[in-house]
Amino acid sequence: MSSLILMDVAILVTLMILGVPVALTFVAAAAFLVIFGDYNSTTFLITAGYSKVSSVVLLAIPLYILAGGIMTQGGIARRLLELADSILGRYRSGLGVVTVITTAIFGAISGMASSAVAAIGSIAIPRMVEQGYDRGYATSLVSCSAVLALLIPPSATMILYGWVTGTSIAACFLAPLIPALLLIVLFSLWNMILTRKMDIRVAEPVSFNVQVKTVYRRAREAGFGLAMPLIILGLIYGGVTTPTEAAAVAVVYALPVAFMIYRELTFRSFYDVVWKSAQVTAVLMLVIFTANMLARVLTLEEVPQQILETMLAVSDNPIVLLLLVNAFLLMIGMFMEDVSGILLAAPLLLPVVTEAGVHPVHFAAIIGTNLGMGLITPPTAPILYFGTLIGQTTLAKVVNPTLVFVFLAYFPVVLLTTFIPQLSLWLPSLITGL
Amino acid sequence: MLQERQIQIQHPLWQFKLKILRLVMFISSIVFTMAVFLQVVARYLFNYSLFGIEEFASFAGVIMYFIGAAYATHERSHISASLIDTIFGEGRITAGVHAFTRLLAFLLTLYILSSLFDLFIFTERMNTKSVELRLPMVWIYGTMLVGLGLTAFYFLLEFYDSLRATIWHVPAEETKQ
Repeated sequence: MSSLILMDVAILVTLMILGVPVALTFVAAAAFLVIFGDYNSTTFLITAGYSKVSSVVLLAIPLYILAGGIMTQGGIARRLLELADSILGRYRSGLGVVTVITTAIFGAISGMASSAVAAIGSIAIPRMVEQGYDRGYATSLVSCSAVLALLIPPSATMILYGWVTGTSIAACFLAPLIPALLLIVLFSLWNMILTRKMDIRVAEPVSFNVQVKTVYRRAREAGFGLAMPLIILGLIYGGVTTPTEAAAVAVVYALPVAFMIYRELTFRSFYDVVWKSAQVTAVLMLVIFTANMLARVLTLEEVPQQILETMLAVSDNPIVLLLLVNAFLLMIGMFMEDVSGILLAAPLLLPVVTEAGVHPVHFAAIIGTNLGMGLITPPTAPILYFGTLIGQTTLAKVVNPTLVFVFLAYFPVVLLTTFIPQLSLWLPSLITGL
Repeated sequence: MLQERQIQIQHPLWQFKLKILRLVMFISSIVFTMAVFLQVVARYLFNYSLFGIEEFASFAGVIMYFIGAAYATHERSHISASLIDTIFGEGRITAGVHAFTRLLAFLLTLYILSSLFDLFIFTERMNTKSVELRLPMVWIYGTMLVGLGLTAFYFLLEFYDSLRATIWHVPAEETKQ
C-alpha cells in the first residue's frame, strides 16, 4: 500500500484515540487525501455524502429507531422481562438466562445495542443483584447480550451492510440469525457455570396451574410488543413491503399499542421520544454522511484494490485470508462502533472475501459477529462502558466475566460463522431463495 | 466568566433556539414517517403510487439528520472512541486533549461547510431542481448549511469550555446544560 494511505490510516486511528468525534475523523482522513492528492474541487465530497444519506432505503434506520423508542417508552422492556421471568425465573441462574433472552428479543424490537443495555439493564441488573448475582457479572451479562441486537432481525447494522454492498437486505437480516441463536445458547450455558458459586436466592415454587396462569397473563401483556418484529419480518419476507415501508408500518403499529393498550405513552413523552430518536439517528447519519465522503476518496485512490493486493501478497490461501479479515474486523470493532465499522470495512473487504470465495450474504454474518465482539472487547468497548454506567459499577469488576463471554462464547461463534458458510447461508437460501 | 456563560444558556433566546431545533426534528420525523406509510397504504390498498413521495420523505429525512446533528453537538452526544479519558481520568491532561479535539472538530466542520457552501452557490447559479418534485436543491443544501453551521458553533463553544477547564480548572460539566 502507498505511504499516503498508511499515513491516512494513522491519522484516522490517532484522531479516534484522542477522542475526535468519529464522523469528523472520516472528514480528516478524506481531507488529508484530497489535500495531498490531485483534486481541484472538494464539492464532490458533499455530493458523495448527500447522494447516500438521501436514500429512501436508509430511512428504515430512523423509522426502526423511532418504533423501538415508542415501544420502550410504552414499557415493553418490563413486560418482556416479566414474561421470561415467569417461565424461567424460578430456576437457579434462571434470571440470568431470562436476561439474555429478553435482551436479545428487545434488541430485535429496538435494533440498537445501546437501547437494549439502557432499557433491560436498568430493570434486570438491580433485580439480579437483589437475587444475589454479582453486580459486575450482571452488568457484563446484559452488555454482552445487548450486542445480539446487531445480529437479530431487523438490525440497523444489516440494513447498512446490505445498502453499502448492494446485497439483499432481506437475506442479510437472516444471515446472522443462527450465529445469534448459538450465542444465546452459549451465554446461557456460561451463565449457569459462572453463577454456581454465587449465593443466588430464587422465589418459592408455585403450583403448575398458578405458573401457567401467570405465564398466560404476562404473555398477553407482552404479546403486542412481541408481535412487532414478527409483523415487520412478515411484511418483508411475505413480499408485501420493502424494509423501509415495514419500518413505517412498525411506527404506526407502535403508536396505538403504547398510547391505548399499554397506556404508558403521553403526548408529552411522545414528543420527547420522537425528537430524541431523531437525535440518535442524526448522530448515525452524520457518520454515514462523512464515511461516504471518505469512501469516495478511497475508491478514487483505488484503496480496495491495494488492500486486496496486500492481503494476497501475504497468502492466497482462503483460510489464511479469512483469518486476516477476521483480525482486521476485530481491530475495527475494538475502535469503532458498528455503524462506522460497517461503512468502513464492508466496501474495503468485500473484494478480498469475494476472492476467497465468500458469498456477500455470508460476509454479512462474518462482519456482524466480528463487529459485535469488538463492541464488548476492551480497550474501547463502547457497549461495555455504557453498561457500567447503567449497572453503576466499574470496568474492573466487569472485565473478567466479559473475557469469558468473549473468548468462550463469542470467539468460537465468530470462527464457526467464518468457516461454516451453511450457518449463515441456510436460512437466507431457504426463505429468500438467495 | 462562568456566571456569564450560565446566564447565556438560561437566556430565553438560547432556549427558544433549542426548542425550534427540537420542533424541526419532531416535525420532519413525523413527515417522513407519514409519507412512507401513506405510500404503503396507497400502493397496497388503492393500488396507486404517489409520485415523488419518496423524494419528499428523503428530503424530510435529510433536514432531520442535519438539524439533529447540530442538536446532538449541543448535547455533546456525538460518537467518539476516546482512550484518553480511560487512561488519564478527569483532570488537566484530559481537558487539554479534549480542548484540542474540539478545536479540530470545529475546523473540520468548517472544512465541510466551505465545500457545502461552494456547492450551494453552484446550485443556486445553475438553479438545480430535484429529479421528481422539481424542488430547488438550494432549499435542501441551505438546511444542511444551517445544520452544519450550528454544529460548528456548538463545537466552538465546547472548545471554549474545555479550554477554560484546562487553564482555570473550571469543570466542563458546570457549563454543560
